[in-house]
Amino acid sequence: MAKETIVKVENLKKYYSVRPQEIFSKVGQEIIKAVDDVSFEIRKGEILGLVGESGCGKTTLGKLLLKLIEPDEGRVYYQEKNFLSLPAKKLRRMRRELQIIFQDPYKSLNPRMRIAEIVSEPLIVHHLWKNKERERVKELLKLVGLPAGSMDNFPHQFSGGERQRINIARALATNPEFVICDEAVSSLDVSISAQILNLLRELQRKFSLTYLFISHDLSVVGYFCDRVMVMEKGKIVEVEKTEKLYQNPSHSYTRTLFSSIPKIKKNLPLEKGHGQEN
Amino acid sequence: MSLLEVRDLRVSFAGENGKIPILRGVNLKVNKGEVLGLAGESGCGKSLTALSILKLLPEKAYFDGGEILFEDENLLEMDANQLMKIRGRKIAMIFQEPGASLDPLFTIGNQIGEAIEKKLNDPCSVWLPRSSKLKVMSEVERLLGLVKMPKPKKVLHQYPHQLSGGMAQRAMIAMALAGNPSLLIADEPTTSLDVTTGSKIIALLKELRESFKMSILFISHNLALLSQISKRIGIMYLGRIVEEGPTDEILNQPCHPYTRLLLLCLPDPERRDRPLSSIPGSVPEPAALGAGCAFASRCPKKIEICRIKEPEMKKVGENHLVACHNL
Ligand SMILES: Nc1ncnc2c1ncn2[C@@H]1O[C@H](COP(=O)(O)OP(=O)(O)OP(=O)(O)O)[C@@H](O)[C@H]1O
Ligand SMILES: Nc1ncnc2c1ncn2[C@@H]1O[C@H](COP(=O)(O)OP(=O)(O)OP(=O)(O)O)[C@@H](O)[C@H]1O
Ligand SMILES: [Mg+2]
Ligand SMILES: [Mg+2]
Repeated sequence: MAKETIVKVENLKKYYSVRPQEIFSKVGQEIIKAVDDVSFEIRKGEILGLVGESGCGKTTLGKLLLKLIEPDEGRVYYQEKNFLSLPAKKLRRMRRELQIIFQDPYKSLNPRMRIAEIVSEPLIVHHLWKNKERERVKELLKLVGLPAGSMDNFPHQFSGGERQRINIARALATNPEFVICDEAVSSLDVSISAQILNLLRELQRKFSLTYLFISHDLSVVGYFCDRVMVMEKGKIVEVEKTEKLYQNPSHSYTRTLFSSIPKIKKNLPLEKGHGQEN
Repeated sequence: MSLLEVRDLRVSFAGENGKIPILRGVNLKVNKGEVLGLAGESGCGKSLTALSILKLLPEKAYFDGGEILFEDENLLEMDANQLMKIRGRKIAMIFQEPGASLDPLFTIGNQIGEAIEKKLNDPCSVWLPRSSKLKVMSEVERLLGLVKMPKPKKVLHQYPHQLSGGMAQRAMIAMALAGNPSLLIADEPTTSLDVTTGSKIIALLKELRESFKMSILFISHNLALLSQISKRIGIMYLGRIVEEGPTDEILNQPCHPYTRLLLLCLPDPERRDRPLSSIPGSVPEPAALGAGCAFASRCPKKIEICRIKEPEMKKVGENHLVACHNL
């Protein structure tokens, strides 16, 4: 693994305030510290896991990294350039290399666009695969296990897991360098999830891609990530190599988190050689 | 006694080149106070089965046949009025799509409050007499507490877009429980929840099942999770249930080749250097399905007859059924 840093985050902060508008509320303005003074680095070519309790700020952090929302404070560097203060034109160019697979596969697809348009949109924005967009879309759909025949359908014609795969295809369309996967395989059955994880890993090995892999599935994180970052209430409480963290979590919160992984009690007498190891 | 029984349910979509059969004869039964788990390949028709039970089919979808018996009455033959009395009250649903039950224009407190008020106004309800708004709000807060929502007081005033994925999911669970249903259909209810919160929700649902004899149809692709909540599961592939039986048996001695292969795909953190196994081939398009077994094109154990005839469910153990020619 290369040591070079690709993303560097310094003192990132995002607070939200919630204003009750009802008469029967007794509380005043409330502050939610979604991301609270967070600093870390991601190395080129690594898969960094991000885990933590629901609502601890993982999605907010992911969106901040891509400037999809504005931080209150802090800096994000990509290859030494401060991404958050880049001029618009440079920012756009940079965006091609940075993609996100959104957590909610329902909200993130425009209901009025056909799948082919959705997946090829980033190609058109960045003038890539000119006049060959449809071929690229076909190839991408195949990679995520969707029939090419479905490319002219609308999002509502797909199941939850199928929409998640459309999101993945779109995020990978431009061959980005850095991808944030926000619960990217959480609605997929284990077989499709394995197919996607193998694909992501293959791309990572071939092109030295970097991922920030947000997930609450600790067995997937344990299998897939090189290092894991643990977040609690907006703060990062532990960053460690995966093997080390899983064998010997030092923070008490990490220990609680790991104690409740559901497991199948199994003694499967399954004959090997049936599952395809591709 | 069975509370819900689905018999030979068939649902199709009207496609550009004719009809596309999606549910191709689903049979399932949920007994009173029982949890039935339902798992299967992404896109196999789990959500559509759930929506059919509430007769909430999406546009262009229609029933091709079958019966849905709830308390021995066929839901498919009921009129809108009768259905109104059942939906959200006797049968509640946690939708896979958060937007399907959370309205972006209202605060969480208002929406769940409304579900409670509906219940209060219902003449058949055995609930407390009509109470003030404040009481409703404290009931909402209690429900949010039940589903382990962090800072429920704050969340009362938040809009859906201000919640994290897992918080929205918990708000939906609270809303489904507001009507005190006898059957809860939960479609991937804990997919966006961390394991700690997820297992708390599972514990809560188990408790409700025991204290109120609530029945649950629990849809999830997470087999480990299913094994924690349901004693019986069904495995679905392309619009049909292909294996059904006691959870332990299915996970330890799976009989259908699809179930066996699926279980081999689980990731193992100890074997990080190896690629994960996945089931070879891809799911055929429903429109192009022939007469044989839908899994035949990917099946390592297929024999001659598999291409010709769809297998029927056969008994392989007490309560354990499998649809496969080659057992
Ligand atoms: N637009 C917003 N307005 C107000 N509060 C918000 C907004 N977006 C997020 N929050 C709050 O910020 C906190 C962190 O949310 P975030 O979505 O980052 O959590 P998460 O770690 O991704 O959780 P999950 O695992 O459930 O998806 C939550 O308390 C949430 O309610
Ligand atoms: N409006 C539609 N037109 C055509 N096909 C549709 C439509 N809506 C859903 N489908 C198809 O019906 C099938 C079943 O969808 P369903 O949502 O029930 O799947 P699911 O088992 O819940 O999958 P997941 O685990 O991914 O949520 C899918 O293959 C989907 O593509
Ligand atoms: Mg999130
Ligand atoms: Mg579904």
